[in-house]
Amino acid sequence: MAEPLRPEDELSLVELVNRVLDKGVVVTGEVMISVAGVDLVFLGVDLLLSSVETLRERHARQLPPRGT
Amino acid sequence: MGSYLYCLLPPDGPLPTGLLGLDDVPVERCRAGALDCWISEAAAPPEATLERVRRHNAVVEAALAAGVTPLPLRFGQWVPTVPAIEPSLRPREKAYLDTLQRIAGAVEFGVRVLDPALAPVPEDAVAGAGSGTAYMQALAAHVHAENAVQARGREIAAELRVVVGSMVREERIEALPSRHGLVSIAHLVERAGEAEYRACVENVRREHAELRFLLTGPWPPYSFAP
Repeated sequence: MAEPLRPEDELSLVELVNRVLDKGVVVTGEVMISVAGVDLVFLGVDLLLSSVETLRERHARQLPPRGT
Repeated sequence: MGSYLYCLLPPDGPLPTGLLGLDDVPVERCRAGALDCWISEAAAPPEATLERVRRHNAVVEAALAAGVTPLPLRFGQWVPTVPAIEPSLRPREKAYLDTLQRIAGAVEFGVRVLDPALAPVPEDAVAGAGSGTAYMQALAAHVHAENAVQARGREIAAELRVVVGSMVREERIEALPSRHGLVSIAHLVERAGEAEYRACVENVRREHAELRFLLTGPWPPYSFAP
């Protein structure tokens, strides 16, 4: 089973997907993105808020990140 | 064989030596008119998966790491043959060259500002309004609430812009359509000014303990494509 993403990784992932799929130069016309699987669909900014709160709490308690 | 396109570069820029692109296909540099383009062979337009999205960005970041700020292409740009690349770029070639000059020596940072206390915009109230008058009142309340959120977002963006000052060459501001979203800001920042820029954003964040500032970067300048 894959290791759960840390909040900072989730943030980077959302930002990455938003940029690569929604920004950048379009030279061959708008591309209809067909998403294989559901892994891109769940990403949303509101997801981040809880993630950031978790991160802040962790820093406040000086807990190590998950997976370490 | 078709070609998948990653990014545009000034002519005679770096070579993607040993770099693997989507599906582990080697990346090559191709001259297309007055531009270089990093490409890899692909029989068909790829489906978007997280692995391919990450790999697309890794190739663009490799160009950035080579010392030249690339102009990133959006995921999914594909042409059926190599000779088809140049005509696909030609109509906007000057705009691409101008943008490459504008972004030279810079990287992108993203700042998303969220307000955990933001009341939800009353969208359901509009749909559920019975009479015409109730509908119009609910619609007006909805628009008013949206406008207030966007105005608050623009205020924060303007405050941040004053603090970051000349470190930022350009900015893009968008609404952040989510329950807690105030604004999404992209800044084009001098590469040498990264630490100072981060410190400035941190200062603004400290001034607004009630908000959440999500800073990411440096990114290739996806948000500054023409």
